[in-house]
Amino acid sequence: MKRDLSSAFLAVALMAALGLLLLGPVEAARHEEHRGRGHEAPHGGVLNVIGKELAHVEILLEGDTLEAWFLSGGHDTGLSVRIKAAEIPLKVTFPGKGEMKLILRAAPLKLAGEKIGNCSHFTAKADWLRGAREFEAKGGVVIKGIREGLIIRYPGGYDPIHGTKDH
Amino acid sequence: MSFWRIVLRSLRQHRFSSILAVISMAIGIALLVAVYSLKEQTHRNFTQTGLGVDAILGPKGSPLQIVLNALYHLEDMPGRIKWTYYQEVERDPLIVQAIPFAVGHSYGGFRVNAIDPRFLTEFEYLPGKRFSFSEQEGGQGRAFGATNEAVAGWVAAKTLGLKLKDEFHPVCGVYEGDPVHETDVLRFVGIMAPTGTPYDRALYIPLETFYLLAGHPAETQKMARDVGYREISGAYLKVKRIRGGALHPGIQGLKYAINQSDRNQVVIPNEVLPRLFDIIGWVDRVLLAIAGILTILAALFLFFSLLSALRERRRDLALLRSIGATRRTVMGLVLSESLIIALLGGLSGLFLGHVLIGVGAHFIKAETGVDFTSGYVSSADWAVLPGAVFLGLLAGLLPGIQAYRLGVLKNLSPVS
Repeated sequence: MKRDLSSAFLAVALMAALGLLLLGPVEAARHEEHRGRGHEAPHGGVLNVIGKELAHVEILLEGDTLEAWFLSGGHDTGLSVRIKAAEIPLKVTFPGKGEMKLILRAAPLKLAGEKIGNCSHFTAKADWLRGAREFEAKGGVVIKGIREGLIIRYPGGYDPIHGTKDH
Repeated sequence: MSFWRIVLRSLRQHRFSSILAVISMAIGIALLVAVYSLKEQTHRNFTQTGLGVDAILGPKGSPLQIVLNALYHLEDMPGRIKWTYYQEVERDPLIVQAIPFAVGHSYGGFRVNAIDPRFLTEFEYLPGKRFSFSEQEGGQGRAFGATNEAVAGWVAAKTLGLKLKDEFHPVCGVYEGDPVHETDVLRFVGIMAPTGTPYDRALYIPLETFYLLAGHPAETQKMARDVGYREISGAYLKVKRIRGGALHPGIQGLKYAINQSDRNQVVIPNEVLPRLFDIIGWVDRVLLAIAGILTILAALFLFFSLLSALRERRRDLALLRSIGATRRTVMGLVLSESLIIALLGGLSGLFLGHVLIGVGAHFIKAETGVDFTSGYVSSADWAVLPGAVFLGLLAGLLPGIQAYRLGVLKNLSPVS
């Protein structure tokens, strides 16, 4: 009787272990899904925080063209923020090379119903941007009615609160 | 007497408990097989084919609602978009084809989709496959031309018993009790050949007809004449592809721009539907957990019945040992019984699982138009036999060890 009971207990324990073994990968996969969700740059560019997470500017450098999209703050990087400025002047510093001037010009997204003066997308073109590997650009912008400094760091992005990695 | 004869004789002696063990294991495995198969086929049907639509231009609202309505003729479209906006999108260099449509009518329980005629003549619902009315392929008649003409998808035609030249009054709405356009008579001029897609489950009329139906208010009828005033429910979009067949990466930028507008959005079905499966994925997990528990319980039942049978057979096994059977042979007898029961349960479960899918598929297709097949071989099917062997060995292990350790003298001593 005693032997039968201990056998039964062992059998149940083995079955339970098997069940846990099967569930383990399922739980691990679920945890994997929830890990690593940070701010996403909707165009595959680099995010730079404006103010205290008031907004973001995403920049993408391709060839001699720099594109910038103004996006909402926090985790709402999928929402655009329109600004009134038609141009945004920037001072661009290359490490060890000095300073250049660059002007971001409004390039309205027509399908978003944007116009110059109510626009979230800007572009700038310059020969010296071609092949640029690292730079910092500074300027200023009025966004959501507030005048804020603009700091753009490429390729690492700018986030003084959380650091440059995803959070 | 050979080894296997002894095993079979023992199974026959305990046939009641053996049959019960086979049945309980079959039920658990059948449920596992059915859930896995339906899960994999659902994923394949709803995410991989795309039904020829790379993206849907629609109004602001739930992206899932838009996909379910535009592709599966379920739910309602959450609003309308301007025709002029559709034209702007159509002109974008990334768009290869844009087919506008307007929904909101029904007949006999099937949705009536007012759509651009290019849908029937140029649209590919699968790569290289366009809708056909050819009799050889199971269709009849032709595509609609005049505004009082209509065509039916194959499932809709079969369910409603439609024939060419049949006439109908469309219902202004998709729910029971919605008003009927009594003064508008449309005639079926074509029945589409079956495609095995949800397109078979709808009726189609010219887009222009939507605005001209007499029962509509003046502002809707004005849309027939005034393009600047016109609205549609949405448009099916085909996007440029790059080498390898992937969507042009520019689609994300186009999607971003359109989604920033006040009234419109672009929805990519292959991005939305996997999220639906993530949300309802817990249903699969619960069902799989139930099936897993049933299977483990079946294995436990097998274990206890082997243990009980061993208690009854101690004397017989001791006798076998006394005439020369080794400990390993006796252990093997018990393990073999367990394996045979588990394998029978596994095979029965596999068969029963596919029968369950066949029955379920009939109802799913009737309700959604989506094809499921009982012949689909899922990843669970490959695991059934090895799994059954493993469970059989596991359930028989402890009774087998007990049989191995059976004392000959002790169990042969007289019982009085």
